[in-house]
Amino acid sequence: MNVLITIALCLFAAFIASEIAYRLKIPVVVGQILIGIAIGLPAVKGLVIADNNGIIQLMSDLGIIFLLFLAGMGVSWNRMVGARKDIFMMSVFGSFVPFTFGFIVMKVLGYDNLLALIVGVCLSITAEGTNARLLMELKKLRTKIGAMMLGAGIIDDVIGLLLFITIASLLGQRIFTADMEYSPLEMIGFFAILFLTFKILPTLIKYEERERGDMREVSLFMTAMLLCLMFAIFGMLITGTMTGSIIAAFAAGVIIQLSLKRKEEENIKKHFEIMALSFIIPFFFIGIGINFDYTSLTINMPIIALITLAAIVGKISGVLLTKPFTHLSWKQLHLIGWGMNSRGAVELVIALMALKTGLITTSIYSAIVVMTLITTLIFPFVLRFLVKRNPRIMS
Amino acid sequence: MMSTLLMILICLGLAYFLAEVFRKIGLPRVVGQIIAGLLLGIGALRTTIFGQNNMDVLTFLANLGIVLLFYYVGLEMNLKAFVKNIRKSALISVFNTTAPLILGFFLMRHFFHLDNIASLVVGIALSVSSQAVSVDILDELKLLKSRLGNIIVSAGAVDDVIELTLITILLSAFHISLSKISVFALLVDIALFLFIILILRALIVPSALKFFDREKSSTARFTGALIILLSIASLAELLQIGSFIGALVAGMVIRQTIFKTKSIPNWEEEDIANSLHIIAFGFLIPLFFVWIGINTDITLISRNIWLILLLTAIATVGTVGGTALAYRAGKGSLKEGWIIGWGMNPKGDVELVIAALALNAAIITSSTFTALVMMSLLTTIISPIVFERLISKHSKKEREKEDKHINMKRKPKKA
Repeated sequence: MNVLITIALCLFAAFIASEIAYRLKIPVVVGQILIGIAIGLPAVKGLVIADNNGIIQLMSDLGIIFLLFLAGMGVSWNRMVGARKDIFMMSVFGSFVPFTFGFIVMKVLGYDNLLALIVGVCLSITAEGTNARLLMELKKLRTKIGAMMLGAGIIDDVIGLLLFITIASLLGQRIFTADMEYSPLEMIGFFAILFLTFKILPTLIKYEERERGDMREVSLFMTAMLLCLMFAIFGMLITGTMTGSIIAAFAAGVIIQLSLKRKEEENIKKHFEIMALSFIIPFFFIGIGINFDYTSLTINMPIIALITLAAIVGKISGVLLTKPFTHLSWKQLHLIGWGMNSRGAVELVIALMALKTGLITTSIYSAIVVMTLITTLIFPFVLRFLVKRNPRIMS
Repeated sequence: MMSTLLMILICLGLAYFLAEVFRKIGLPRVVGQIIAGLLLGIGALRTTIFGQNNMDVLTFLANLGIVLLFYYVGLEMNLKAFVKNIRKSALISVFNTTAPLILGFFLMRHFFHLDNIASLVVGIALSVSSQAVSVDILDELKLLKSRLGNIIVSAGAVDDVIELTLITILLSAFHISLSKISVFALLVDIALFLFIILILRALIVPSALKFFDREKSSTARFTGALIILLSIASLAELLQIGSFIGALVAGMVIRQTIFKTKSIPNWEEEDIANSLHIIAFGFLIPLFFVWIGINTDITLISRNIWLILLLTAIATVGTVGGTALAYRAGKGSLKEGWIIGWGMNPKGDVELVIAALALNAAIITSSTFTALVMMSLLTTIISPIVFERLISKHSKKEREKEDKHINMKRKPKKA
């Protein structure tokens, strides 16, 4: 199958799905994920994707990186810093409580410690993508709750990353290949680059803005692109996972926000945003569905229900537990809880790794996969519902 | 092998850096981007950065870049300007495209013993030119509205149409020689394609454009432009006409629809073309130029040095000489014709597409490809330098003449 036709079909499908979703008044993201699942059906996948899986995977990776980069530019950094204590508490409770829930549920069901540990970790990690896109869609990225949701999610990602490394070493797997050896030197290099970018960027942008005509905008566009890719790759080199590059892309967005004036930021962002939202990011959401691996699924309803329930209840009660430490209302905490409830990044990698080493059974693996889908799909509805009922809940 | 993302970053980063450097010394960005590719293509570097897998990805992105390039060309193709300027510039355009074409074709056919289609590829690659650099220079010197500037711009508009016709014919010829379908079958396919396009143009495209504007956001409009592009390009691919021609047609269809239908206020062809230009030239087209550089074998340069110089000479002599003669025939001065000729000479995109396609289809060998790329590089480096010198000297003289004129007029008044 010609790659171009695959790309065309995927974008077209994503577009149709978003249109239908728009008509049915459900979040567009949900439509795109669902159409991805439909494309992922073995029969359809063979027809549409065929041997172009690599390209779709690349576009999907670029999609999540660009998405978090845009989110980093869009989110209100001041609000995030202002609420840093709240954010920290939320991410700690938000990952610790569901972890305990998952662990206990599995122990009660009579599984061994290691398996319970793995399931617990899988329940504790938040995935950021859906959150960010949805906040953009509803234009709530600049609000206080939006900032807290994303901030807590990012810290949660860091925690998830650490857990992932721990688990991986528990499983006796070397996740770092030889040339990606984690070293303090790389960390220092990363921070040096962070600092340099912060210092050099304004000069570079000033230089570019002096150019004439539309080449000026091409240069600005390329700068955004290169910055985003550079950080993402650094994140990947240091941590060895996609999550690292997602966090780093977010950091790149924040750096742009902090080091440039508002006008310059708008200029650099304008065309990047058009490209990312219309061309690349849809592939991330389709990718969620396409990667849904039907062949290894066995449906065991009770376990699916239990794990999903543990995930949702754990996350939300975890966030609600921070009430004494924050000044937010119950309703707002409830909303943030749902926001941190989306999953589907690191936990899928962990689950797959554990499945391959034979530490969890297929039915538990399937339950985790289904759980990530359900939690990701619920949040958009909840957010829309809550915001509609109380339009000022986010501020 | 490296991670694919890292490969993209390296290609794009080096292309960006070298493009800015070349820009600083007054040369077009393309030059820097191709040289970035040449550097990355050097033996050891190539094997560490590009495994087979990464090379496939780069090829895909480069192809996507060509599709966007053709889409952009279609969107910018100004048929009105073509009609308006055809009488004034037809002579120049016809001369400066056919002279290098015929020279190149016969030379390759008789002295280098290439077959017909390969010679045609070389001939057309020599005859294609792109005036973007010259227009840029004129703009910088504030000479765009001057007499010579006007001639260059209008002849450029006529040139574009002639060249695209040539390329369309060439691409069809590729298909016939490659897929061994008969001319008749191809004609049927083309007829079918055009028929579907006409139906789309009449029934679907206008309402689609209106539909995509419902949200009144430039992102939604761009999504629409992309979806229309990809649908038409895929259709062309399925009908075996090739996605590039499809993209070209898609661009023209959208431009026509926007101009003819007054009822879609927010769709501005310039707006779409501008976004497309930035996204294509900031991401995918640089990767195409890098791809060109990587696939150019530097070791073949010294062996083919005479071929390269010869091709460059033919391209330059053909275009500049052809223009000058045509201008002379149209009762202009030979000297001005010479300046205009240098302004029409730069290359930098479409001839590379032709070369790349011919290489992929094994119509030309890798040494001919290398020679074509080097020819394009040399022409694009030399022409702007010569042109800028000539035109600024000329305009200075012109101004002095005018000053004298004014002074002479003034003097009697004073007296």
